[in-house]
Amino acid sequence: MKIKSQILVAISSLSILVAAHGQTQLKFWLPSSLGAPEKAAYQAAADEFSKKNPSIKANVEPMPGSETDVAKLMTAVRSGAGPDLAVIDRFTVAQRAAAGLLTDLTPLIKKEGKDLSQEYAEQPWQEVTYQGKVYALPTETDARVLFYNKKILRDAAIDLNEFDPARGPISPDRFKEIAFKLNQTDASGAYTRIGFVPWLEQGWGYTWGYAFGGNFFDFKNCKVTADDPGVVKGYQFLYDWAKSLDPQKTRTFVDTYWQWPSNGTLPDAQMPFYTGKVAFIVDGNWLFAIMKDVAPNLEYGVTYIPAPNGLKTSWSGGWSVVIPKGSKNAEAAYQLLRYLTGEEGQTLLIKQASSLPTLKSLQERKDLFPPEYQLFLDLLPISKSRPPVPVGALYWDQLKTAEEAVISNSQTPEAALKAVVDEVQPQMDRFCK
Amino acid sequence: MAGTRKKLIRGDTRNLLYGLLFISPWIIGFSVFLVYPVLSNFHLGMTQYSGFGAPEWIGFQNYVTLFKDPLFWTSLYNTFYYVILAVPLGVVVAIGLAIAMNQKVREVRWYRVILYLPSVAPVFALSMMMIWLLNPRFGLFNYILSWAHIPAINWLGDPHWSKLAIVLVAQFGAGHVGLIFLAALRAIPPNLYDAASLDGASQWRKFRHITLPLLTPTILYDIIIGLGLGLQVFAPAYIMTQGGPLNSTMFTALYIYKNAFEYNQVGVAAAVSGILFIINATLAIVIFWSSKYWVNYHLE
Repeated sequence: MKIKSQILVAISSLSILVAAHGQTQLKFWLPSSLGAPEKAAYQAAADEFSKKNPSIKANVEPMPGSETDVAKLMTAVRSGAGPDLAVIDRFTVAQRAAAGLLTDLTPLIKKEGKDLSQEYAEQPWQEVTYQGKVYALPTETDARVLFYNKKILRDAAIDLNEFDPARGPISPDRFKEIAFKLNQTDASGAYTRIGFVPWLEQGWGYTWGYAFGGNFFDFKNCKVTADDPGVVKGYQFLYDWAKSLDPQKTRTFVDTYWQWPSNGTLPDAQMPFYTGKVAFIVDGNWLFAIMKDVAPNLEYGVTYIPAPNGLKTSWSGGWSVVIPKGSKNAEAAYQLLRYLTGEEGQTLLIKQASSLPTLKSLQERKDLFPPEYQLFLDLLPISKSRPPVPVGALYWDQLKTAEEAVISNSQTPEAALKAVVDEVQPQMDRFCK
Repeated sequence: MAGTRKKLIRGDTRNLLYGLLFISPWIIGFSVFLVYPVLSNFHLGMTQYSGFGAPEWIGFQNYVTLFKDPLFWTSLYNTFYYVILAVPLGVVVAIGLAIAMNQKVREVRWYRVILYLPSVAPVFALSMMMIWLLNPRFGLFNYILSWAHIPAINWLGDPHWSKLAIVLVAQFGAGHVGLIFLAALRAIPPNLYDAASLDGASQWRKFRHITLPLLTPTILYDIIIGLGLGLQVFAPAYIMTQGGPLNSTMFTALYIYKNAFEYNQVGVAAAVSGILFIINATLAIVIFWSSKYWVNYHLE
């Protein structure tokens, strides 16, 4: 019985080997923190590529981790069991390149003989280069805006025209007036709805720092500028908002309805914006694809992130494809990489995951985008990015810690942001020359 | 006595060689998987190393940076806070479980299964479940507290409670040690209890003067193991809080992980691991030394 099954196993594995003979197998890792529509789009692109290139088979595998946590990738590459390709957050490319995790793509690009720097938009291109070499190619980009629930606003007799993008960003003061009208509490005084919680979802320190005209890095002097007056103002906005809401009560509200493991994602359908627990949310274009799935009847609109003096701001991130060190099929991997980051791959991402393209040629193709994308397309040219520095992950975590200190009102913005500089600058100094 | 020790005769030498040969798998395993990594870790702690390429020797620079980093001290504070609460509480809960599993009733087998079951849950599943049970408004824990009119606690979101929440989660794994205590309980000769009963000893006196002293070797074992595990507490914080809120659950092991795998600072991570190793070894030695004052190995 046992021997029989062993023979069976041997035969079946042999037949797999025979079938795969002559075919290059590529291991392609997708981080688990990608949204479901994005995962599906990458999978579709990989399948499409395998179909068009019968000599290469792209095998998509999940990679546990998050935007900044690539432990699995690092240990796998270190032990020689790494993938041929992986999707990693673009703002960490500089850091992973500095660490020596990534294959330098420059020779492969040179061999192809195209000037790719001209094909991609400037900002994502900057993020994939480190010290003059290219370590990744960008797939999609994104932008952050303010989403609002039309029904809640209408029920509260709020003029929707105030949120018409044609009127520019609403001022933070006026916005606060409106948002606070929408708060609801139960008999015990606990919040059951909060108009707007500025630090949820994409309301990161970067969002508000940029909205208040801040600057996070001084490239000329190689200085971390978390204590820049604009950034401080942005954090002050968070501080005051939390104070007006009551930090403790807001935290309870958030932890009640945003119940997610910090390293995973909330089941999409429970996102409090869809369930009407909040009326506004700062979020990105990927929401279009998710809402189509889980909240098809939600009436929503998009507008600029509130900012003083009509300043139109947003910031963009996005993913990129890399070839980690140690790939035994770098040539084939590069072919797949070019497919994923080329017109076909990016078009699939636009259609399935409501992504924005990084290829200039696609950004100009108006026929690809439904009307609700207009605001995002308008924002792209002015949208900022996280500074692509080799301490990006640390900087991100520290800004998050400062944000927690500020929204719990346990530290002033000045003190919290100074602590960020004190923590990050010494690490940055190693890379300053 | 010194100087009078017999020299090994040829037969003894051969026996020694055979003996060493027989335990050689263990010696090799111990050297390769424990001694070498520990030494290599101390070496890495003296280098600047991203995990790739060649480590660059920088002497004690990592330690200097660490001692200046407030987050490092926060992480040590959090870890000690956790150990001081979780280890003794773990002993109490495990003994409680063992006693409950040792009742002389017919259904005791069922009790054993029920009491042991939570310990079977993998820490990931348990942590995910705890996120729900600890929900500030709809969680089971707060619901039970509300019977006593205790106001809702934001377990994972309030820096004052978050460490306590993780101590609580750890107690769900007490079943493993509970089983060891159960074995120890059943090894206590029943005639001791019979004799005590004849003398008219109460249940409490029997527990205090027979059960507890005879459990001390197991308690020592539990404290030593618990200390090692407690100092390395990682998974619940990694899954439930990622070190937050306000770094209140930033345990040393999580700090090591972040440095090594998020910030590409394997050298710093190795330095912290070295410090943690020394702390653990020192405390274990102190506890072992103290054990001669409170552990009973023999019935006297």
